[in-house]
Amino acid sequence: MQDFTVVTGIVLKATPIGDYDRRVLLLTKERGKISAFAKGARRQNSRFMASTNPFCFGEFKLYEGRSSYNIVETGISNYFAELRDNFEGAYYGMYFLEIADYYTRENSEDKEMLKLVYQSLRALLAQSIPNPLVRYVFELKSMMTEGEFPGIPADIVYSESAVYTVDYIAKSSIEKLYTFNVTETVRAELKEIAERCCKRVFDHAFHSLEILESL
Amino acid sequence: MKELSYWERFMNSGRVEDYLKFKSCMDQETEGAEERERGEYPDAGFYSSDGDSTKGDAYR
Repeated sequence: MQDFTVVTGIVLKATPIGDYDRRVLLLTKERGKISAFAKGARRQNSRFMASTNPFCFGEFKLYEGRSSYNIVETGISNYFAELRDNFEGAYYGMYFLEIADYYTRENSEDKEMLKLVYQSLRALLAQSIPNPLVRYVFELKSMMTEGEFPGIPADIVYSESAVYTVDYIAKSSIEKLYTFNVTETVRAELKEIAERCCKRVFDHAFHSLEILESL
Repeated sequence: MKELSYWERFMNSGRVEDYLKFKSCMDQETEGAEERERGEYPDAGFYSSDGDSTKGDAYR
């Protein structure tokens, strides 16, 4: 008798395996980051073809095989398909997924990171705040969530607004994170703060960021 | 479905060229869908064959 488990999560990565299969990296509410096998996902008309692509968020029914989880059913509530229409949006989305992959560990719960990724992708689609601002907020909040935020660099005096914004990002719940906007001047300060913090904290070069910086 | 394969390739490589191939595939699919919606079928009403035209009264 197979034991099934249902998890809620988002696809961080999907890698082709063999002629028709896919290995999927999921960030889940219940089990943190897990790897799962989607048999036949790359066959024409496979029910997993669309639902095991990066950005897909929803429920995944799994059974635990000998060496990995296997996807049995999917129930996607948000494909974030609109991100594919927008070149820049796609790269920002990929960047967020890369950071989430960097920070999360296998079988280690990380609900907050999942929430952050989800809300940040929604913010990219909503376009009520500019994508670069979504990026800086995501970078800072991800560090804060993981307990790695080194604080505002002390060697430069930033404006009161910039300091207040960073404080707001730190204290705000993830659901209320993307409910503000800032002037171009403050955005430039946030860019500098985020860049300096990222340089200090991340010991990894993110491929999608390299492309974003060149846009 | 083809565009999903191109999308998967782009998400794995992160290369701009792969995104452009995906987008081109998407645009072709959209154009085809729009044509069908407008009732435009490129081959409608025209049958082309390499064979001889049909001969009537062949039984006579």
